[in-house]
Amino acid sequence: MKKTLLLVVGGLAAAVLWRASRPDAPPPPPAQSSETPAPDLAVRAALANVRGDLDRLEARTATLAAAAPAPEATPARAASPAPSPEEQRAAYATRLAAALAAEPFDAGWARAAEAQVRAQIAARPADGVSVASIECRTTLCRLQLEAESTDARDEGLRAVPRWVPWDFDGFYQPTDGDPRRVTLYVTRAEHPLAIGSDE
Amino acid sequence: MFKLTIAAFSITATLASAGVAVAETDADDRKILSGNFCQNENDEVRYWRGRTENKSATTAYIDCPITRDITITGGKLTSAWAKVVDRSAVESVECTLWSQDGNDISGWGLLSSRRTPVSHASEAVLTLAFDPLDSIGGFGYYSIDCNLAATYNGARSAILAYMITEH
Repeated sequence: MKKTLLLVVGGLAAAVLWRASRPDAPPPPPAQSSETPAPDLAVRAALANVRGDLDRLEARTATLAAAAPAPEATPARAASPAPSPEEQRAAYATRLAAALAAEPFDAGWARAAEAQVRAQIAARPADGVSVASIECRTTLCRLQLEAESTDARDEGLRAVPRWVPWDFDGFYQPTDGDPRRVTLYVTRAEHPLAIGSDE
Repeated sequence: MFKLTIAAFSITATLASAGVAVAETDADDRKILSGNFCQNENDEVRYWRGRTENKSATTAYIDCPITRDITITGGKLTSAWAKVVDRSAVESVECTLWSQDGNDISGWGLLSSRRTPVSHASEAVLTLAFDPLDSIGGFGYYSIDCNLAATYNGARSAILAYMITEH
């Protein structure tokens, strides 16, 4: 049965393609008498059989689809709201404080880095700004700056890229909410700032 | 006929995939600005052919504006660089990319700082590539500032251009 069906469908496809490839072919002759059935009648009969098979197949497919369990609805992805600048700052500060605390002390690099920064600050002081502390460990340093005013603080921030004499990434924020005091984290060269920026 | 159909399908598929690729890159906003956008508060620099050059015998501080086009909260700078020429054998050219909070005068922010080797002195153009930086809220803003080395035997260090890509 299947072989017959395939033969008929194949024949039909071949006939359609053959006709399509000959656009100038004359129209088919009118149907002849029933005593001598024309080839078109045989094709139509075969086509009717194919349509019947197709209808039965579609009905069977519909039955199976109805019996299948419905797919679980995908839960809507809850859009997490972007953090406010205050939340963003707090998150960065928390991560960096934790990262510094967790780092071992690389005595060779840390001591040299602290000495270099102190030397640069001494060579290029910013008026009204003092450095309360410098702490370096393995890939991070934390500097605490204290300024007489916010203007002096800004001069200190402007000087930071010259005070830290290597390529670095950094984060700064007021210390304990006092805008004249700044906590600054800077990285060792070729170490990204661990704040999840690339997540 | 089949060949024609297959060819047409292939062209359609190619165009469709190209359309997707264009849509993805459209999410990035990339711009290159000429170095003479940078500003200097003293008369230490000269502007020439799009560059800002330090013509003085002291280090020149310049501040270069960046227009933030993508202002959604959570946007970021995915890449940035500055093209500089360091003609000094005793001083580096240093540039820093800043991301700051536009709503908070008490000040907090992020920075990425890059410099040329101190002993480098050449007419070669060097690229200072910054790390990506997050934006700060919906009102944060970006800038690049540089310290251009003082003239060295009359040679002027300069910034030629800078690029930022926002996402």
